[in-house]
Amino acid sequence: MLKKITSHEKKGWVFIFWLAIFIFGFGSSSLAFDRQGTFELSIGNYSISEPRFKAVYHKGGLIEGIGLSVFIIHDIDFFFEMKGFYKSGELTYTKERTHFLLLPISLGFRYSKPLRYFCPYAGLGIDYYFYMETNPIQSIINYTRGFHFRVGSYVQLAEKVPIWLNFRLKYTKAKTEENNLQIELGGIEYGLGLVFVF
Amino acid sequence: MKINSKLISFLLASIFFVFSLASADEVVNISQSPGWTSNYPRVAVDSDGGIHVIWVEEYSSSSGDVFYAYCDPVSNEWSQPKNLSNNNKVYCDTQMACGIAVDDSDNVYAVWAQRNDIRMRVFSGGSWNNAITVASSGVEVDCPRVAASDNGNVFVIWWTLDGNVYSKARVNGSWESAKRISQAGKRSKFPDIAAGNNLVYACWVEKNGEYQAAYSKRNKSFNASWSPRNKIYTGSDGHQHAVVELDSYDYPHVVWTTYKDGPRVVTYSHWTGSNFSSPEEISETLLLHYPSLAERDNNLYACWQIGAYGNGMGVHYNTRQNEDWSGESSVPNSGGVTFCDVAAEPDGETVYFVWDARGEIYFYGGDTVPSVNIPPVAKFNFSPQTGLFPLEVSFDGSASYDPDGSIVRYEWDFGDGGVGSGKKINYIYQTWGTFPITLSVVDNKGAVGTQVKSIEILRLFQPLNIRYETFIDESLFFLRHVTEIYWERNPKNDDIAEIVLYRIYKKLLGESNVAYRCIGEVNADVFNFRDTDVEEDVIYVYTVTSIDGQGHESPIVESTGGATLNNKSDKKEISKERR
Repeated sequence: MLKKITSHEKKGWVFIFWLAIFIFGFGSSSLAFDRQGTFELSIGNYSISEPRFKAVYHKGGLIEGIGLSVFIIHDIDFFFEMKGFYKSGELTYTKERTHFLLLPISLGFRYSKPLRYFCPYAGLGIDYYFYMETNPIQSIINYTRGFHFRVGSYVQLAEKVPIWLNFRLKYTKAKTEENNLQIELGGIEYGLGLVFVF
Repeated sequence: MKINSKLISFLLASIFFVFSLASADEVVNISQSPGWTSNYPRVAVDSDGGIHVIWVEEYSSSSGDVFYAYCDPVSNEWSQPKNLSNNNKVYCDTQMACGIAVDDSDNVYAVWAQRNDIRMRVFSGGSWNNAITVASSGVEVDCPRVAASDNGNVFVIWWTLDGNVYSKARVNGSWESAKRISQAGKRSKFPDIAAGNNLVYACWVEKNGEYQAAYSKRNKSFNASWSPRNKIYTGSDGHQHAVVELDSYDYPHVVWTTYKDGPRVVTYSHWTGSNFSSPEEISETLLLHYPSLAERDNNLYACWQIGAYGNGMGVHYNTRQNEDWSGESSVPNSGGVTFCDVAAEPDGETVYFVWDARGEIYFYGGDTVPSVNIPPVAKFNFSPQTGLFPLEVSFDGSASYDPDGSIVRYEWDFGDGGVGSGKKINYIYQTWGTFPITLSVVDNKGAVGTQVKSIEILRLFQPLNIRYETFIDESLFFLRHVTEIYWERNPKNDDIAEIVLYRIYKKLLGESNVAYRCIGEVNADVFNFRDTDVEEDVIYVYTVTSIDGQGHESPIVESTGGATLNNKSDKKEISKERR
C-alpha cells in the first residue's frame, strides 16, 4: 500500500531533484584532485518532527558534531559522524523545566560527483540515537535506531587549499517507544560544515 | 386501816417530783394547767439545745395569756410555766395567737396577738424584757409569727381579719413601719415567715377562687421592699396553712395542705434557683390540718395534725434528708391534738414535737430521726477554662469537703467518654465541643456528692471553599496527572488563633476520614497546593486543615467544597499514540 505523500514531503523531493540536476548537470572535475577522506566540524539546525517534542521544546535547535569520511572506491565514501543536540523546555501543565539531549551517531555511504568548485553528493545511512530526558516526572537514558537520507555539496574555497565547506540536508527516521508512547526522534537537519580534506 | 394523810401527801409529792423531772425524750405535759385550756404551742431550740415553748392559756372564749416553758439541755428539766403576757388579753379568732423564735445569739422572741395589737417580749441577757407593742391595727390581728436572725434582727408577720397580711421588722435595732405584703383585694391569711442568711421569705394563702399558697421576699437591710407576691403553684387546687423555712442557700421550702374533696394532703415545694418545684405529696390523703415546718442543716422536719379540729388522732411527721422525704410517721401518744409544732436539735438527730390535747400542752422528744450522714460536697476548679483541642486541662477537687466525715474517693467524668480518679488530675481533650464535667466525691460512709460544670473545647476551622482540579502534565517521553487544590482563608479563625500553616490531606474516594494522609504543608499566605502523585484512573478526595503557631490543627474532615473538575478524561493529551 502506497503511503500518501504530504505536501511537506513533496517540497522536499522537489528540492532534492533540482539539487541533483545542479550537481550532475553543471559540474566539472575541478575538485577531482586526489583525496582519501575528510574530517568535518559541522553545525546546523535540527528539527524533530514529533508533535510532543514541539509541545514541550517548541522548536528545533542547534546541532553540532564531527564527521569523518573515507573514500573506499572512486566517488564513493564511507562516513561516520557524531553530533550533539540539546534543548530545554517546559512541562505542558506545570511549566517545570525539562531537558533533552540527543546524540546521533550516523554511519553510511555517499556518492559524490566532483565538479569544478563543487562536489555534490547524496547518501544513505543508519543512525544510533542516544537520548536522555530529565525532568520532575522522570529521567531516562536510552537509544534507538534509525536511518537517514542526505544530500549536499562540498564547496572548494580556493584551489589547492584542502579546506572545504559542506552544505548539507539530512532527513532521518528514528522512532522509539517509551511508556507506551511512540516518539519520532527523526527530522530534518540542515547545516554547514568546515571540511578538512586529506 | 387508818390512812396517814401525811404519808399520802408525801407519796403524791414524790410522784409529782418524779414527773417534773421527766426527761425530754418522753411525752411530757409541760403546761400543767388543768384549770385552763392550753392551746397552740410553738417550739424553738437554741444553739445549746435548750428547748423553748410558748402557748396560750385560754381563760375564756375571749381572754387568755401567753405562757412559756424552757427545758434545760443539761439537766433535761422543764421550767415552771411563765406568764409572758400577764394581762388576760391574749386572744385571736383562730386561736393561733402566738409565735416564737430564737436568734443566732440565743435571744428568744415571743410574739402574740392581743385583740388589735401584736405584742412581743424578748428573753435576752438571762431575763425577759418588758413586753412591747409591735403593731396596732384597726381590726383584730391573727396568727402572729416571728423570725429572728443575726444581730437581733426580727421579722414579724401577721394577718388581720379583713384579709390582709402585714409584716414589720426590727433591723439593726430600728423598727420599720408595718407594711402590707399581700395583694389588695385578695383575701389573705395564715402567714408564716423565715429569715435566712440574706433573705426573708413570707408565705400565706390568698383567695383566687380557692385559697392558694403565695409568697413574697425581701432582703435583710433596713426598710427593704417586699417583692410583689407570687403564687407558689399555678394549679387550681385549694391550699391552707402554708409554712416556710429557708435552707443555708436562702432557698425557701414550703409546706401546705391541699384540698382533696374533703380530705387533704400535706404538700411540699421548694425553690430550685429559678422557680418552685412541682408540688410533692408527703403525707397520706386524710382529714388533716395545721402543718408546721422546721429546718436544720438543710434537712426538713414537717409535722401536722391528723383528724378533726379539737380532737385529732395524733401528730404525724415526715423528715427530708439528703433531699429525700423519709416517709410518714406518727408521734406516740399524741391523740387529741389540734395544733402542733416541730423543732430539731442543733445536731439534727433529735426532733421535738409539741401539741395541745385535752386542754394541756405536751412535748415529745425522742431519737425519732435516724443518724444522718451528711453527704460530701463536691467542688472543683479547672484550668484553663477553654482552649483549642487537643487541650490538656488540670482539674482540682481539693475544695470538696464532707461536713461530718472525710472524702475517700474522687471520681471524674470528663463528658467526652473519658473518666479518671484522684483529687487532682490532668486530662487531655482530643476533640472539640462543650462537655459536662462531673466530679463525684464519696465519703467514708458511702454518700456521694457531685458537682457538674461544663467546659468548651475550641477548634480551629478548616479553610473555606476547598476545591481541586486534575490536569495532565507531559514531557517528551512521560505523562503524569497533577491535581491542583485551592482554598480560601476562613475568617472564623481570626478570633481564635493565628493560622501559620495549611496542611493538605488526601484519601481515596469512599474511604473514611481516618484514611486521610498528609501530602504537604504550605504557609498561611499560600492558598493552593499541587499534588503530583496522582495515579491515573483513581479518584481522590482532598481536604485542608488550618494550623496555628502552637501546632493546633483543625479537624481532619471532609471539605465542604470538592472536586470542581475531575477532568482526566476531558483533558486532551498531546499525543494519542498510546498502546
